[in-house]
Order: sequence, then structure tokens, then C-alpha cells
Amino acid sequence: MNLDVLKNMLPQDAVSTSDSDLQAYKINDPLATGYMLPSAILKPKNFEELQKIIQTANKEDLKLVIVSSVAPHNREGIGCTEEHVVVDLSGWKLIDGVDRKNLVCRVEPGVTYDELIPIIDKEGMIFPMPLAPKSGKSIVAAILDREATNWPNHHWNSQDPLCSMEFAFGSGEQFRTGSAANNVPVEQLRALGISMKGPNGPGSLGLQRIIQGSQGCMGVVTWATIKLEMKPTISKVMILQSDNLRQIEQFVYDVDHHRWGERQYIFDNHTLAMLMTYKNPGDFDKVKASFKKYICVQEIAGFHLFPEERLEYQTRDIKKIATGVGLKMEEEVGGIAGSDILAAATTPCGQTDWRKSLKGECMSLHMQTTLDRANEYIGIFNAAASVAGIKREEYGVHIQPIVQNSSVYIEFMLPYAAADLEKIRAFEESATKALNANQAFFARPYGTSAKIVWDNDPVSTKLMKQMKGLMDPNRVLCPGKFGL
Amino acid sequence: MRERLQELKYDMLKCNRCNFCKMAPFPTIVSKQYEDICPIFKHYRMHGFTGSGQSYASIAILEDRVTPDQTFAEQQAACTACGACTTMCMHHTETDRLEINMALREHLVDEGFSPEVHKKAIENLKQHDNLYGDLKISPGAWAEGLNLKKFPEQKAKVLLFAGCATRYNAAYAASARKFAELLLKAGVDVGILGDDEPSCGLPAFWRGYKDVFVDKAKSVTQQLNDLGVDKIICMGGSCYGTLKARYHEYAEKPAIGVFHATTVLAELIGKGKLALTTPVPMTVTYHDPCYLGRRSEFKNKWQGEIKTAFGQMDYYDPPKRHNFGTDGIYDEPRKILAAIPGLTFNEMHRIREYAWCCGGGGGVHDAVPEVEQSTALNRLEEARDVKADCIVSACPYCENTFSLTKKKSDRKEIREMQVLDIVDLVYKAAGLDA
Amino acid sequence: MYNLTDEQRKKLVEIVGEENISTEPWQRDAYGIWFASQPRPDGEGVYWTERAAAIITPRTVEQVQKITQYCNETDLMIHVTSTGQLVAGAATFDHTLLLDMSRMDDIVSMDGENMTVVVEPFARSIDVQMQSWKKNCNPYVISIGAVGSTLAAATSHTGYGSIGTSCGYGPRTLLGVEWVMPDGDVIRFGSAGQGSGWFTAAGPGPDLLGSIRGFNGAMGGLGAYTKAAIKMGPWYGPSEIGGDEIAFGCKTPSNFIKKGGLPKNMSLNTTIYPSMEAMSDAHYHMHEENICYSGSRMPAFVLAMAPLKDNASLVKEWESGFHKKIYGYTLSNQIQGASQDEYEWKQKCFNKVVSDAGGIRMRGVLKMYPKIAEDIMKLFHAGLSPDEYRTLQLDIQARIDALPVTPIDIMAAGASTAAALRNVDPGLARPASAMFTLGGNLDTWDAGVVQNKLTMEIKEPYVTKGGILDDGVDTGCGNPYEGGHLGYTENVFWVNRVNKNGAETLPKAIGDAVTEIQKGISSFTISSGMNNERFGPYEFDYQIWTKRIKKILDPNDACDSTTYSGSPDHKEVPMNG
Repeated sequence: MNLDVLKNMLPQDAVSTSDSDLQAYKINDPLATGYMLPSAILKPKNFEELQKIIQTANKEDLKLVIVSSVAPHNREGIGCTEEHVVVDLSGWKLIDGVDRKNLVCRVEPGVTYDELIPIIDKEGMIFPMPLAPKSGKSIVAAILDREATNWPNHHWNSQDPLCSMEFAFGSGEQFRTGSAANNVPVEQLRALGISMKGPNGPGSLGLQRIIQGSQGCMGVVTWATIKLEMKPTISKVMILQSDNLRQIEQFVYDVDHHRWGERQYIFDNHTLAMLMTYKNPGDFDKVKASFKKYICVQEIAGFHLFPEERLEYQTRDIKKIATGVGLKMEEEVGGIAGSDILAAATTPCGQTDWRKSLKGECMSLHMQTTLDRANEYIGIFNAAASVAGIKREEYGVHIQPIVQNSSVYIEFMLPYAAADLEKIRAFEESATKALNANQAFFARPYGTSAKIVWDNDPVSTKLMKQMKGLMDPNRVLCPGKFGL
Repeated sequence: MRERLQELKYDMLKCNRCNFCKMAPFPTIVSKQYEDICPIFKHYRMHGFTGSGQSYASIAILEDRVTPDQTFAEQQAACTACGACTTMCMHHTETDRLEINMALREHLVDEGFSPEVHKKAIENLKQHDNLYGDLKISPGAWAEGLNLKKFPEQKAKVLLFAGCATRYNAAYAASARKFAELLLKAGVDVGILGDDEPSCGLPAFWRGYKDVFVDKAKSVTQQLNDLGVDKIICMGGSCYGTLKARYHEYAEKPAIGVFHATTVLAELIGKGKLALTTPVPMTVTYHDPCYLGRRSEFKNKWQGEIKTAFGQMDYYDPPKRHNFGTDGIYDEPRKILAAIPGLTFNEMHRIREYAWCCGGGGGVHDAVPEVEQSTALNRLEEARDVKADCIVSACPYCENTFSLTKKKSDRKEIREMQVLDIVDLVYKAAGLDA
Repeated sequence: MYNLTDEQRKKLVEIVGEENISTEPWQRDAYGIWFASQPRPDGEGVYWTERAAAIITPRTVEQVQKITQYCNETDLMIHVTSTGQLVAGAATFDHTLLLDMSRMDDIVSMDGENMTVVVEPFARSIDVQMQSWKKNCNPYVISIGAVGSTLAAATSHTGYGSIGTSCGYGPRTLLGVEWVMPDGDVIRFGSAGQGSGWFTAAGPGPDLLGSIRGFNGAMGGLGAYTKAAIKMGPWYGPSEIGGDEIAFGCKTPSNFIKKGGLPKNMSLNTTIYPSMEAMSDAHYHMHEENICYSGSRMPAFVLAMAPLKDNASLVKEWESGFHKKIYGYTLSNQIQGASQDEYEWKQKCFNKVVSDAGGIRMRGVLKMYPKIAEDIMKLFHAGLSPDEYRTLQLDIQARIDALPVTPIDIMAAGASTAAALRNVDPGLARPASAMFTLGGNLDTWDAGVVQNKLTMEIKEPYVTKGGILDDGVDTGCGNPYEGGHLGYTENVFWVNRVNKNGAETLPKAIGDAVTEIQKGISSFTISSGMNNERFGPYEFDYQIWTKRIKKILDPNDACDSTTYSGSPDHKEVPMNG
């Protein structure tokens, strides 16, 4: 790999090949194997520098992996099986266009949850979030990975909360999507009154959708506008629990059908205990024992128009639903308040993934289905676990209603000690295959699923390859991803 | 007839493909099965078979993109001339879509193109005054033994115009007898033309033979005007719509008021001159015939100017009286049914000016029988959907179509459905049905 | 003009059957209109496209696939149309087989719990509603009305729909598509393709829906969609129209009489405002807390037209100035509550929002109350001080609230509700035969207001010269979507197809829209293949990327793609690899 040409193009402080710097881009997941460390780290400061890198990479047959979060990197998203350099955009920290009226702001790839939350909070806004992201996690990266967020009623489309964006193709050409797709500068758009919130287009193109979920192999996003939400002025967070997931299901179906309530989660007691005790893992057993098997955490809120009355009628109506399916609504269980759970779920967890706190490592296997089939897939996973000698009480499940509960995201979390690595590796493969054999949908393929799903639907795989040919014809961006 | 088509090009060009000529009005739609309003679109599912499609096909002829030919005529003959497209389009574009469809048909005929069965039927009409040829049953045979006054030898205040269907439809002939008996019972001074009763000529209009129809209209009008009656009562809805509306549109209407049997019966019942005291324990629905309903609206011959306002908006000055189909005969049959003791009446979904056609009009019965069949079956299904055991109407074409088509249904309850004229129910309720 | 050879016809008959193909010139010309209402420049007639080689009505995806495969082997092409309103889905090449999907009209499945419906191309929104209302669900209905295809609204077309604030914006309700691709492969995006069910098009990995759907779709120009999965919104109203609570006896075309009041958890609200700013402010607040089930800005001209039956009446009505003075800034919003408590809270919030914005909640036929009408004109136009304004506003509102509820009110509320739910356009074609829109920028409501202003600047000179109908110039229609997060406005205008001035004006006006694009507005509504070349260079050359996709996906030119990728010189696009 000829790095000189890159070194000559960028300022000295923008290029590093030191071993300690390279090691920071190791994937901090023992289950992720086969990936190479980068040969260099490049840190362009702006779009023009980035574009030069990409154009050069095309000419010189260099491979690029884009990184936006800070280390440690827990997922295989940045993994590449070929020799490559990392283009690190984590220093791109622009936050602007924070607009309370239109509930939108713009962020560059390096902006993290820790950084954005206080800024929008000042304006009375919050943000649908993935479950306790790590500090240093890039918001743009999370959105591009379509991480499941916690506000199903406000989740209108799988693309949300992404609005419009600017990106570079694998060829280096610049593009903008949505209502930002106009050649004039952003400032001129804003002066005109365009918030760049329109998510579709231009024309018949939906290129932002092709880039989302592609784990960096279709384009390089250089900024994105994201949809925000009003912050409640008053709220309660209720806990509902049952040993029977069906009761929780029915409750969630009814509440979400009416678009009642705000942020919402479904955990089993294992996952909830992991979440609530990641700073004090010693309390894990006690907390787990305080809860029934399945827990729904349901926020109810008022905003600006007669907020107390809103809170009151929704509490009453949601309680009717709960009672109707045999559930009790409580503000606190076992000394843990619903508001504590919400706080834990919506606060960045620090540098280390909270999932790892119990045993040092954690296998995370996720899929998507409809809520009424969640139990079925838990059963399949459990059957595979039994075969592997893993008991139900050893792993947790997080079920997240998304896109107005038209489907749910399920994450199976299995904490494990390093000594059990090989057993877990084998299990990850067998469980994924078992789920796959029962038509589980791996919307965000990682691990074994990233290897096997492509055979399920050859026509879609072919189209994906064709789109790769459009977006990155010379395979500059994360080659080998998804077999591309 | 090309000139007539050319005059209508302005109206053709008002179509902007909104698709409403295919569907019943939204608030009436309760089921996918009964959401269509255009019989030929429902059958063929191609846009050419709609009011809009016919307009664009007509433009294509006028702009010499399409040359009339026999195939075109045979396919265009599928339109039942029900006028539903007009009713739907009038509100959107102030256009009579059916007028364009008929002008197109007339042009095709004028060019020598018409289904062979239509050519034969018209020859029969010219020679024998009916579609079927030398029928053994005379026009006045239905009234034998009733001792009705016979024009012109005898005078009466009211003429009962029975309609030519009495010659080939025994059930309808029987209904005509019943109606005459009811009128006599109510003390109406009624007479008939008997064997002198002409065909109203509607079959010629439907088939696009404008000249034949105009000649018929003139001669029938003259004949009726010479009778010196106060009132003409048409037994059949089709005759009523023809004498009332089509004659005026194409030639001239009779100088005497034209009424329908249901209007007269409703009045007689309302005034107590016909007592309905015998229960009729049936569950029925009522089918609004097109020519008693929306197609019986009087079409004013507008004379004025098309002006432009606001730069681009054309309007008629003086305002044109548009035919929305609302002035047809709808209430009277319903009043009659409401007055019959023991009767349960369930409305269908597409009623009044939005009624679904029976499929029997427009010459479709002989030229495109499959359209008649699919259309009629849909209506019978709709009758069954509202739990009716009997479908009642007031038009010989509708009743004949339903009677023949129901036998082709694969559902027993439709095959066994009764088809009656509204007169038949009144007759029962009046205790005359031994 | 091209006529199929005997061999070609025979092959197609083998696929679909004799009765489902027509090569008759008259039938082909019934489909031969380009953007149905577009006038010919000489003002004399119809803007004909190329006559399609045949009209075919397939019934199954297998038939569509076979036809497409056949087109890959020959020089024939396909283009697809379903309900074909306004756009008509016409062919632009004479070797095009026009697939009219009207026989593919099934609702394949409906899942009330997951609020999803899978439809074929000709399942109209009203068909979906008839079933979905029984399951407390409602699909998005595009502005042409529920006579339109649910699939086409989501996959292929643009346009606002007033229930978008609660049921989602059409294209964003897509959860999956079955697509016969230009090369003849059949793909199901996302979870359907994986055999997991119809619940998302996104994944595995990228969301490949992005290859066919942006703001616009392909409009029948890139393969054929044979199924779509749609996410529905909630429905809290009656399970049917025709039941006891909300029924319509057919009496006249435009006045449907209602039997009984609207259900207690529903209302239809018409509100008026003194200015665009006041109206917009109200619109934001109404939607951001999901107060309204539906919303739309109704231009004064449309309001004047809606209850009338002919243009002659409209002349008088519009010239009276009544609507311009009172209804210049009018919103129509439905409120529904999932519970009675919710409805009452929403109505209370709504009333407050309107009042705070300086608006008036209307009820009744205002002309029956001339004093109130007069006071409203004074309120809006007399330049009152803020205190005077507020006093008079509250007084007028109190008087309106005290008006007796008459049968006309009940009828109007019922009819308007039914119309709003099914987006019935009340004779929108009537003023002049060609109705177009300029702009349509899906961003926020504020952006829509800006776009409307810019569009008015383009429109006004043409109105002055008589080339565009003088409808008051401000006919921006639209509404917020998705709880107020997004907003959309398009300025409709009318041109008379047989008026030479109008016919000449239309292409100029559309061309002038480039000035909006140059300022920063998106070309959304007026983009689509035919205009891509004109607007694309201002928008990152999206027309080039569109053509590249065409080239990749349709190497054998089996699709008539003018509506998708523009003029027929697509072969010349340089690829970027």
C-alpha cells in the first residue's frame, strides 16, 4: 500500500502510522475475527481534504474504512478483511442549525450523544436514542447503522431520525440528499427558510437509504440533519411486569396502536438488571430477582398544551389497557423507579459497553421481527442455547418496538467470561443459523449473520452488488463488507 | 355525425383523467364488489372502456389518428348507455360524458360500422316496429279482455303507453295488465293504443342509429299529440325516459305531459284511491332503472356563449342547466314500497342517480351479451348482499335482464331470486292477486 | 407508430390471454395522453404521446415477469400504469407495452395488530379503508383521493394527503415492495425477501428501497411493482361509512346527507386567520403534540369552488370577494380521540391554539350570518390594535359558538369529514381543464410557506397576463406530516387546455420554476424524469445518477423510462466506474 501519496497530500498531524494509534482501531470484541488493523490513520479536516483522499484512493487502489466514533470500538462495523487505511472523522464536531420550532439540528460525524444532549436540552428538546450508547459513540454512525431507538410512536420510518445529509460517493463525488439537495451553500438554504429536514430525494433517488445499513461501504457521510423531539415538561415512567410475555405484548400493541405514551422499552429481567447494575455488577442478582420475567417501561408525558391534563388522561387510559390485560402499573419496583430505568437507558454509559460489565464480555445477537413473533424467536434462541449448554437465566433479551411498533428489534445479550470464548463463538454461530433457518430477519448483519444472510435472497444480494457498483465502483470503501 | 362529434370536442378536452367516471361516489362505497359505477370498465378493466377513454378515442378520430372500423364499432357497442359517467363527471367538469359516447356511436354507424346484430335489429325495427322481426304477438295483445278504451276510436283522458316489451316478455305483459287493472280500479279514465302502439324507438337510439330514432321520435310525437289526452303514462321506465328526455334532445317531445306508472301509483295511493291492505311478506330491494332515473332528466338545449373569466376559466352564459341525474324518478317507487304492508325494503348500495346499470341497455343484450351478464350478475349479487329475496324494478329491460341472467349465477339464492315489476307488488297489496 | 407483429402478439396472448390484450388503435389512444391535463402548445387539443404498441392487463406477478423477460429478448419495452390519474402513465415509445395493472387489485393481507397491509397495484385506498377501518387502522391517502392506488401513492408518486400528520407521509409508509425488475428478476425488499414477513424494506444491510424511491418514484418507468406493504395509521372513527353514526343517503352529487351526528370522539374544524404567519403558527402548534388527525390549508379559491356545481356560479362567488376577504388563510383539521378523554383534551388544546394565533373557529354557513361575516372582515382588515383585535376576536368566537347547530352544519361536517378522509377533490378539474402545481418542497411547513411565496412570484405575472387562471395567486395547498415534523405545500394553478394563451404559458411557468431551484428550493414536485435535465444540474446532478441506475438495472432497455430517468438519450450517460 503506497501511503506516501496520502502523506504528501495531508498535513503531517493528519496522518499517523504509529502502532499505538493503529491499535486504537482494533475491534474490541473477541468474537470478531479475521479483520485487519489499518495501515494508517488519516484525519481530514473538511470535505475537500476528504474528497482528495477518496479520489486518491481510487487512483492508487487504496482501501478506506471510515470511523466516526472514538475508541474503544466494540462492533465489527469498522472491520475490514483487506489492507486498508482508516479515515477518522471523529474530530468533526460541528453542531448547528439547532431549531426548536422545526425540531431539527445538523451534526457532523464526530458528534457524540454526550455532546449533543446538553445542547438540545437547553432548547427543550431530546432525542430518540439507542439503549445506553457508549460515550464517544458517533450519533451519525448510530443512525447510519439504524440502531433501534426508544420512541416507537415518533419513529415513522426506518430511516428516522435521519433527515438529510451530505456525503461523498466512493468515487469522491459530493452529493446531498433530501431537501438539502441543492447546490447552494447550507447558509443560503437556511436563510431561505429550508431546515434541510426533508428526508427524501432528490428526484427518484433514495441514496441515503442505501448508505444507511451499509456499515460504511456505500458512501462517506460528512454531515446529517437529524430529527429531534420536544422534551416533556412533565412525565411519569411506569413499570409493568409479567412472567408472560404475551401480556406485555398485548399491552404494547394496544398502547402503541393508539399512539399513547412516549419512550418505551421491553426488557427481560436479566437485561434490565445488567442495565441497572453495570456500575455495580455486584447488585445484579438482587436486582434481577426483584423483577418478574418481562418488564415494559412506559413513559407517559405532557408537553406544552395542558400538560398535566395530558398526563392525567393518558395515565388513566393506559392504565385501563394495562388492567384489561392483567398488568399492574407501578412507578417503582424493588426500589428502582421507572424514571431511573429511563435515565439509565438514555445516558451514555461511559467508554466501556455496559453489556460487558457483568462478566467482562458479552455476545450480542440481534434481529428484527414483529412483536407477536418475539416469543417464537426467543424460543428458537433458547433451544439453540440449550443445545450449547447455556441456560435461559444466563442471557438477556431486549425487545424494542420500532417504527410505530410495526416491528420490533430483538437483541439477545449473553455475558460471558473470556475463558468461555470458544464455546460462545460456536454458540453464536449455531444460534444465528437456527434463527436464520426460521426466517429471522437480520436487518443489521454482524457476526455469522453477515456471512449467511446473503444466500437467503439472491436477487436482493444481486441488487445490493449493483448498488455497490453505482456508489463505489472501485471498491474503495470497506471492501469485503457483506461480500462486496 | 362527425360534425356532432366535432362540436363536442371542447367537452372531450375537459377530461383530465381523474378516474371518477369509473367509481361510485365514495360515501356510497361499502364494499369492493360494489364500488364500480361503469359497467364496461368493470368488465374489461381497460381505460378505453370508460367515459374518459371514449372521449379520448373520439378526439383520436377527430384528429385522424384513428379510422373508424368494424372492430371499433363492435367494441364500442359494449357501452350500455347508462349515463353513470355523466353523473359522476358532471360535478367535476360540467360535461355530459355519455353524450360524447353516443355521438361516437352515431358517427361509427354513419360511417357504416355497427355490429351485424344491430344492423339486423334496426332492419326489424324499420320493417316490423320491433327488434325481433315478425312477432306473432301484436302490440295490443297484452290487453285482451280488459275492455280498455282504444284510441283513436274511443276517447279517454289518459293514455297508457305499455311499451313494445309486452310483445316478447310474457311477465312484463302480465305486469302491464295488472297496471291497467289498478288504474281502472282507481277510477282512472284510461285508454290504450292497442295494436297501434308504436315502439318508442329507444332501441334505435341505443344502437346509434340517430336518423332512425329521430324519424321515430317525430312520428310517435305526432301520433301522441293527435290523441287529445291530458296525460301519457308510460308503464316502462325505458319508454318514460325516451319520451320525456331523449325525444326532446333529438327531435321534439310530446306536447302532453309524460308520466311514469310509479308516479301515478304513488299519487293514487297517497290520495286513497288505491287501498293497499293485503300484506306482502317479502324482503325486497329496488333497482333504479337508468331511464327512469338519471337518464330521464330533461336536457335543456342550451343556447348561449362560452365566456372566459379570470383569464382561463370558461363558463356558460347564461348558465347551463346541468344534468346531475337528481331529477329522475326515485322517491315515488320508494313511497309505494313503503306503503305496502308487510313488506321489508332494503336499499342497495348504489342507488338513485348512482344506481348500477342492469346491463341490458345500449344494445348490449344482443351485441355484447357477456357485458350484460357480468353487469346484471353484479347487481343481483348486490341485491343479495342486502338480503333481498326479490329484486323489484320498473323497467322491462331491467326485469328481462335480471330474469334471464339470474339463471347463470352459480349461487342458488340468486337463481331463485324473484324478479318483479313494482306494479306486481302493488297488485298483490291491493288484494287483486288471486 | 408501431404495431405488434403476429409473432409478438401471439407470444403475449400466450402469457395473458386474448381478452387481456388490446392492439386496437382506439384503445391505445385512450392511454395516449401525456400528463392527462397538459395542453398542447397550439391550444387546439391533446398532447399525444407515442401510441403504445399494446395495452395489456396482467393478473399475476408471473405474467408481468414473463412479459418483462420477453421485452429483454426483443426491442419491446414495458411501462406501467394503475389508476393513472392525471399522469396517465403513458408510453413515450411506440414499442412500449403499456401494462395496465387494473386486474391486480387484491388486498393480499391485512394485519390490524401490526397495522400493516399488503396490496396489489390496483387496490385503491378506499378498498383498503373499507377493511382497515374495521381494524382501527387507516392508510395514507394521496391528494388525488381514495380512488387512487395505495401502492402507487407510496412507491411511485408524490403529493400531499391531509391525514399525513397521523398516518404518515405515503412514501415513508412503505414497508416492502415486490418488484419485477427491468431484467425480469422478481425482488422483494427487506424482510419479505428473506421470508420473514412484510414488515420492513430496510436490510439486510442497506435499504434497497433507496434504489427506486426518493421524493419521486419511477412512475411506472422502471419495472413493475406488483405488491407493496404499507404501514397504516390509527383510526378512531366509525368502522364504516353507512352505519348508524355516519351515513350518507344519496340525494345529490355534492350534498350527502348525514344520518346522525359525527361520533362524539371526532370533529371537523375549519379555522380562519388574518395572515399566513398566524395560520402557520397555529398549524405548528396543532400538530407538534399530535392534536390533529388531519390537516390541510385550503386556499380561498378552492373553498369558493367546493360547494358549487358550475363555473358560472363560481364567477359570481369569486368576484364577490367574500372568500378572499374571509378565507384567505384557512385550515381544515380533523380531530379524533382514541378515547373520549383524549378527544376532549385535544379539542381544548386545539381551541386554545387557534385562539392564541388570532384565529376563529368557524361553524355554519357564514353567509347566513352577515353581521358576523362583516365583523370578521373588520377583524382581519381594519388594522385594529392588538387589544382591539383580541376583544373583537373573542366576541366573534363567542357568537359563533352560540349559533344553533342546524341540519346544514351536521351535513357539512359529515360531508366534509367523509371528503377529508378520502381526500375527495371537490371538482378541482372544473375551473379549467388543466391543473398543475409549481413546487412542492417536502421539508418543514415554514419551508412550504417560503416556497409558496416564491411560487406566487413566478405565477403572478402570468396571472396578470391572463395565461394562468386568476385564483388569487395564493393557492398553496398542503399540510404538516408526521406529527408536524415535516411539511409540504404546493401552489396549484389552472390553465385551460383549449386556451392558446394558457397552453403557451404552462411550459414557460414550469421553466421559470428553475428560478426557485436556483435559490435553494427543491424541485420535488415538478421533477420526475421529464424535468430532471432541467433541474438536476442545480441539485447535484441527480439526473445523472438516476440515469446510471437505469443503465445498471435495465441493460437491455426493457423499460420505457422517460418518467423515471428522462429523455431517451440515457444511453449516453457516462458511468462513474
